[in-house]
Amino acid sequence: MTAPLLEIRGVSKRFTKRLDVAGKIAQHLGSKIREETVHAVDAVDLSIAPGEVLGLVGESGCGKSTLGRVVAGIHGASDGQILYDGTDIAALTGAEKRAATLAIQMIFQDPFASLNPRMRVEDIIGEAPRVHGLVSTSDTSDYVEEVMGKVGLDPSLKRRYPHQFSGGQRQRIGIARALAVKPKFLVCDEAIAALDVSIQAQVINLFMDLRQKLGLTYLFISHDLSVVEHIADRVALMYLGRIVESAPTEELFAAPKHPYTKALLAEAPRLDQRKRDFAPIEGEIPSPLDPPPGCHFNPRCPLAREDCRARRPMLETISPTRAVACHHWTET
Amino acid sequence: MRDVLQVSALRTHFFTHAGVVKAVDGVDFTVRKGEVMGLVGESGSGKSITGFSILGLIDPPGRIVDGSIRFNGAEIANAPEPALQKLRGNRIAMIFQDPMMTLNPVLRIDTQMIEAIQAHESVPRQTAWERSRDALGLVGIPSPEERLRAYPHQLSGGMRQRVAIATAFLNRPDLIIADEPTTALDVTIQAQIIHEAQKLTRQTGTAMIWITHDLAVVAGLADHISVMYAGRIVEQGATDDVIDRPLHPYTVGLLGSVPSANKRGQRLYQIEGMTPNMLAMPKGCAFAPRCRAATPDCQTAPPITEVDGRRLRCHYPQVQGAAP
Amino acid sequence: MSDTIAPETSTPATKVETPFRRFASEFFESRIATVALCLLGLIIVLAVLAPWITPQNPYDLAQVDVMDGRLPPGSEAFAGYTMWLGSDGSGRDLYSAILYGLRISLSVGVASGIIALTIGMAIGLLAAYAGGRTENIIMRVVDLQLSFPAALVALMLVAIMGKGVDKIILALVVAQWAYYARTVRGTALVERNKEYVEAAQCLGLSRLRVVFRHILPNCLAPLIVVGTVQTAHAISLEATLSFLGVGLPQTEPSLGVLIANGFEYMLSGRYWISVFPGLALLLTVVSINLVGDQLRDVLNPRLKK
Repeated sequence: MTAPLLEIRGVSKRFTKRLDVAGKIAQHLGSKIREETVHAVDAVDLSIAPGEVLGLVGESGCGKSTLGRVVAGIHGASDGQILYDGTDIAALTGAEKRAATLAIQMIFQDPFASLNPRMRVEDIIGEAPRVHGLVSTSDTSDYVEEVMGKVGLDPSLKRRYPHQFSGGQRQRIGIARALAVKPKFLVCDEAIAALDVSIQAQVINLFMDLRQKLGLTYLFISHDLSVVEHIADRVALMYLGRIVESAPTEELFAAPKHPYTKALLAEAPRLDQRKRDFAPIEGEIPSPLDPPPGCHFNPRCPLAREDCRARRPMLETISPTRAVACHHWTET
Repeated sequence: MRDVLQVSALRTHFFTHAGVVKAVDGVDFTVRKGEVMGLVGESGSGKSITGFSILGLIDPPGRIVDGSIRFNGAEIANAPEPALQKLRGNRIAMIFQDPMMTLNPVLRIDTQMIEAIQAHESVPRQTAWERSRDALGLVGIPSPEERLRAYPHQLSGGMRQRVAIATAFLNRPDLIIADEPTTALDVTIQAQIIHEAQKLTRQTGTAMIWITHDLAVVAGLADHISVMYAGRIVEQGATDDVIDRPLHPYTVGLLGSVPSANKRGQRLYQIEGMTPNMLAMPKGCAFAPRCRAATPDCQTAPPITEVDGRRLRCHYPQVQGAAP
Repeated sequence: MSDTIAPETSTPATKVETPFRRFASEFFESRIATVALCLLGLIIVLAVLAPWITPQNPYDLAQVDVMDGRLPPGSEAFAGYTMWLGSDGSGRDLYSAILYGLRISLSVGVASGIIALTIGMAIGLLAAYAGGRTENIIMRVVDLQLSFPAALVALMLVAIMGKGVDKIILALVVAQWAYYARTVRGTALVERNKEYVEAAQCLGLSRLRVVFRHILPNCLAPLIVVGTVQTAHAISLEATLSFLGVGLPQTEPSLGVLIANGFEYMLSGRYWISVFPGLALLLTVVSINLVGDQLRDVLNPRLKK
């Protein structure tokens, strides 16, 4: 196996809501108010090989977007390290730090909020390469046109503002902005979820073309299993801040091991299932503020027993390519 | 089976300062008792406006300019507001994508549900309370007595949507219009909600229009599917026919672009271009500029044709095998 | 890879629609705002052109004749011209005095508005940018400032510092900077959490660049709205202070001074001395506020259809 391009080692991210003065006084007076800590990401290990597409799947509140932002350097990790090309990004300084920052870029979910409404497309795309000296000021205009062409945008539209574009075109602008700094690694956070079905296909195709042309590596975050099944080489599933299963895509979809994976696969609506009887797993996703003890999935799990409530199952390697975090995966 | 709703030649236009937006432009369909119809379309296709038109909830500058909506045989298009109010929440109910559209944030669940019953029927409070409790139990809410005392904000998104569904079913309506009710929910919660809705329609014989952009959801739920594009229904038929043997190039393209229908790692079939500007609609068939099968004939609007029990608006239906 | 990604067809637009053009077309949708803007424009033009279109310079004592005092509208002045709006107690032609008064009122309002906006914007941005303790201290000071009525703060300052245009501007700035600081900090906090800011972080742009090139331009819309309303507020505040006799001196009469001068004659039936300057003040403040309201409707994305 080749050395990973990006390695996530024991990364946790906690958000603490601190008490303000009024809250502290209320606490002194006996109120039940307390500082609240959310373990959005809880000791996650993942590695992604050069050229690989890793799909990160989970439901809302599972911490997948937070993990993506930690990888992209938007949030700092509370614990753990992000290794790019074998070195801890946090330990880098100066030019090396900048090179690592630019090498990892992010594509966002909301094609409206992710573009600065007061900038022209040429500035949105051209600003970072110009500031970092990747292109000279006089060449910026040509460079922007070149990048726009790569993502299928008409370069003659570069003087326009974001509101003059459709959702799909805006997403292409966001992709062009990321590509303009010549990244090696793209974090796509629900990058097609806000688009119309027919536009989704266009953008998925664009991602696949860019992967081939530019040799990009992806962390593809999505709640949509069918999209991930299509685009990813390997899939990791998250539930309440933890990875519960990871496996090559075909193996995972053919033989899921974790009970949560099974439930997700069974319940995702598919075109080839007609007039089916939906028989969902029971229960809600617990609040990340107050997760159940032991295995987070135990209140909804058909296999749950005493040990599931007592002990957290660690992600164990069950074959050279697969890992699962469940005390009873052999029974599935 | 009995027709609950017959919509014919419905046109709802919005008269904005920038021009006339023909949001719904000649829509026909029929929903029978106990049947689920999937109304599928992308944003701006007019699928939600169709739902709002049936409920008489079109506000200026929009209005129903033409067509008829017959509910249980009676005309309700442009009916006076008092008559519509009697129907809404009683004979026709609506479920929205955001349950907070129907739930009042400052009132307890029991207050709202009892009010919904007593608005249309004079029953004692106790009876209304029991019916509310039973309704919550039916949609799979654990310990319904306790939940009745809660305020909407104390419930999760999935729970709220269940309460909205229970409220919709309270008065045993003949028709429920569900507008993207599961779009904002997670996969496991979505499956639960679809399950409850499916169970209730089967038990009560309530007809349902399920408005969505997601073909995969209606594939598993609906009896019939109507595909909308730019204000018109372009293809309409039994679910199996439409999904397995689509005839309209737009339906073909939509189905082709769903990843699960494609081989892993290959390029997805994609419909080129983007949805047309509602103010500058293409002449003739609105899909023609994006259509691979289009010819100069498509400059004239295709008439509605019937092919094997399916209704279609296309000059060049896609014969099997010719699809991409 | 011959199968390139097809560009989506572009929207049919003949000219590049800049945010400003879009804004202007939305602004003029409201008839009342259009009328208010025209009126405001007229008031400003009249005030600017005052020296050339008035028969008298009310500041030049040589041109003011006490014999013309308290003449009703339409009377003829000693110097021969008609006083269409009458004259005040010291014989100033009211039409001239009002236009000159508008000059002073408007320039005091606008100058204090611009200075307060600049200071408030800098402080608000600093609070949002620094966060933590700095933000807390700044915002508590803002709260403290806002908990005093602006008129009271201005009154105290003017009482300490004395009369004069510069002093009243300073007093108005002190009374109003906090509104701007609060607005900027609030919007900046919202903008800071938007995805385009995260994208700028990913692109390795410096924090200063993110704050000034990305966040600040997106905070300007609410700032302009607050600025318009606060300018109207500053004008009436200045009039209030002058009316109370602590604002501008008698020799440079602003609208407030004119109203105050006429007040003593109200009961004797010489209504015009107070009423015409009062109307001028009312029209100015109302038209600015109407323009401000429409700006808020147009610039506030939450009110967009």
